[in-house]
Amino acid sequence: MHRYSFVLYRPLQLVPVLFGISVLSFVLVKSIPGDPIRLLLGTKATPEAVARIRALYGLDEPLITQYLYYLRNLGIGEMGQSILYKVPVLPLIADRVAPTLFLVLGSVLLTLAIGVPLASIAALKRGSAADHAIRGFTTAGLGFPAFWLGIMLIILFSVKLGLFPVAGYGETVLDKLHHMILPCLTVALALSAVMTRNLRASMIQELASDYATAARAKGLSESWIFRRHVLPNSLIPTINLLAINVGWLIGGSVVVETVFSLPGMGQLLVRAIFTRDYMVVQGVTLVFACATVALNFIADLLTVAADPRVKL
Amino acid sequence: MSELALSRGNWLERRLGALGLGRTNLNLCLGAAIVLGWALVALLAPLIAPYDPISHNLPEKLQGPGLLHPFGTDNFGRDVLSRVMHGARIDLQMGIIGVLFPFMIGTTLGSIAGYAGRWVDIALMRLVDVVLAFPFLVLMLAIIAILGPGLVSFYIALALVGWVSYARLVRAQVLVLKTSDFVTAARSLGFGPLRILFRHILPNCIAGSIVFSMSDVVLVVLSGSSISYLGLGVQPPTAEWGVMIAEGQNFITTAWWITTFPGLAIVFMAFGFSMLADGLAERFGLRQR
Repeated sequence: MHRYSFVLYRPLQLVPVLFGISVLSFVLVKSIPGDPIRLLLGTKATPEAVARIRALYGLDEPLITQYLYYLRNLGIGEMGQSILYKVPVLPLIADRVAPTLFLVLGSVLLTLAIGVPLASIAALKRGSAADHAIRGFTTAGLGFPAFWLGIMLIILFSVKLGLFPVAGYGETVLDKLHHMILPCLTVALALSAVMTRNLRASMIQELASDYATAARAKGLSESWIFRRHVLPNSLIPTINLLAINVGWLIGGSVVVETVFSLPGMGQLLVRAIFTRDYMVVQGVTLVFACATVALNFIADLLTVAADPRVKL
Repeated sequence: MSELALSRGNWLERRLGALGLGRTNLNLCLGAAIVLGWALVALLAPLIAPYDPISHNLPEKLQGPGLLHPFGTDNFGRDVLSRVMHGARIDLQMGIIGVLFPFMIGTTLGSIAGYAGRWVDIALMRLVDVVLAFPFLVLMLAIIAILGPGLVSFYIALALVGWVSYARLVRAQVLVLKTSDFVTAARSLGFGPLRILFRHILPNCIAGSIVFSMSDVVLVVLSGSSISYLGLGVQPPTAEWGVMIAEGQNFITTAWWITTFPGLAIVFMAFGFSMLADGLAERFGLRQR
C-alpha cells in the first residue's frame, strides 16, 4: 500500500468520532435548563402558540427523530439563530475565524522560534548551568497561566515601554500584525515550555543514536551532525506534540482573546455564555471540536511527509 | 547514559555532592516543601493574614507595596498579601477536589475497560476519543454554560471531562498487567475478577496515575483560575487568584501589583506540584532524568 493511502481511509475512521461529537453537542443543547420555546417567545406566549412552534421545530417528536433533524440541519450548515445578535450562527462564527486562526498559527510559529534554540542549547550543553536554567524555565513555564502572562506582557511592553497596543485587533494587515504580536507571544511562551522539554529529551536521544555516532566516525563536525541529522529527526515527535496540544492551544486562545479583547471565536464563546446565547455556545463548541480533529489529521499528514519510516 | 552524564560532570550534581546531598531527590524534596508550604498558608490564612481579605478600606486604596502592605492594596483598599493568602485556600481546594473526582472515575472506568475488554472496552474508549476531540477548556466552558457559573459547576464539568486521561493511562497498564504471571496465579487460585482487578492489578499500575495527578493539579488550578478570570468560576468578592487578576486588570497602568502577585502565587504553586510530579516519577522509576 502507498504510504499516503491513509489520506483516503483515515477520514472513514474519523466518522465515529464526528458522530460522537454531534451526539455530545446534541446532548449539550438538550440539557439546557428551561424551555427553549418559552425562551424564544417570552413568558406571555399562549399555550397554543407554544405548541405550534414546538411542532414547527419538531420538538414534539421522539429524541431520536430530533437528533436526526439536528444532524440534517448540521449537514446543510444550519446551526440555529443567535438570540443576542439575531443572525444565523454559522455566518456569525465565520466572521470570527480569522483572528483565532491568526492567533493559533502565529503562536505555533513563535513557539518553534523560542523552543528550538532553547532545546538545542539544553541538549548540547547537557548538565550545564544553561541547561538547568532552561529546564527550570520549562518546569515553571508549565504553570504559567496564559491570562496572567498576557497581562504581564501588556504591563511590560505596552504600558511601560509603549511598544505594542494594549488590546484590539487593528484595521490594516500591518496594524493587525502589530496587534497580534503580544497575544501570540503569550500563548507561545506558555506552550514553548512543554515543547522545549520534549524536544530536549528527543534531541538527547537522537544525539546518542547510532547514526549520529556513525556520522562522528566519518569525521563530520558536531554542528553539522546536529543541524543536518539530529535536528530534523528530533523535530518529528514535536509535530505530534503540537497536535496533542491543539486542544490546549485552542483553550488558551479563548482566554487570551478575552485578555486582549480580540474579536475571535473564543471571545464570541465567552460572551455567548454570559448572555445565555446557547445556540452560539453549541456552534462554537462544535466548530472547535471539528477543527481539533482536522488539525490532528493534518499533523498525521505532516508526520508522514517528514518521516518516510512512519506508516499510518 | 547516566555514567556518561556523570563523567561529563553535572553542574548541579557536583554542587550538591560538595554539600553531601549527592543522592537526594531534589525535585521531590523541593516540590513537597513548596506544596506543604502552600498547605500551611491555606490552613493558617485566617491567623497569619495581616488584614481582612474582603472588607473595604477605601482610604488606603491603590497603595504600592510597602512596609504596611508588602504586596500593596487594591482599588477597594484591601491588602493584596492577605487576599493572596486567603486565595490559597480556594485554589488549593480547587486543585485537590478538582483532581480527586476525575482520578477516581477515570481509574475505575479505565481499569474496568482494560480488564473486561470486548464491547465494554470499545464503548468506553470511543467515548474517550469523543471527549478528547473537544478542546478541554472549551468543553468545560460549554458545560458551565449549562450549569451556570460557580465553583460547583466547575467541579462537575471537570469530573465529566477530566476522567478521560486517567482512564486511558490506567487502561493501557491494565492491558499489559492482565497477561502477567501473578494475575494468572491469582486467577488459578479462584479469585473473582473484582478482587484480581482491584487488589492485584490496580495497586501495581496506580503509580503512573498518581504521578500524572500531580501534574494534573497544575492543569486544574490553571483552568480553574482561567475560568474564574473569565468570570465563570469563583465569584467576587471571594479572594481567588484568577478573580484577583481579573479585578486588577483595570488598573494595570497605575497599580501593577494587584495582578502581579496573585499570578506569581499561581506560578509558584504550580511549580511546586510540577516538581513533585517529576520527583515522584523519578522515585517510582517512571521517567529518566
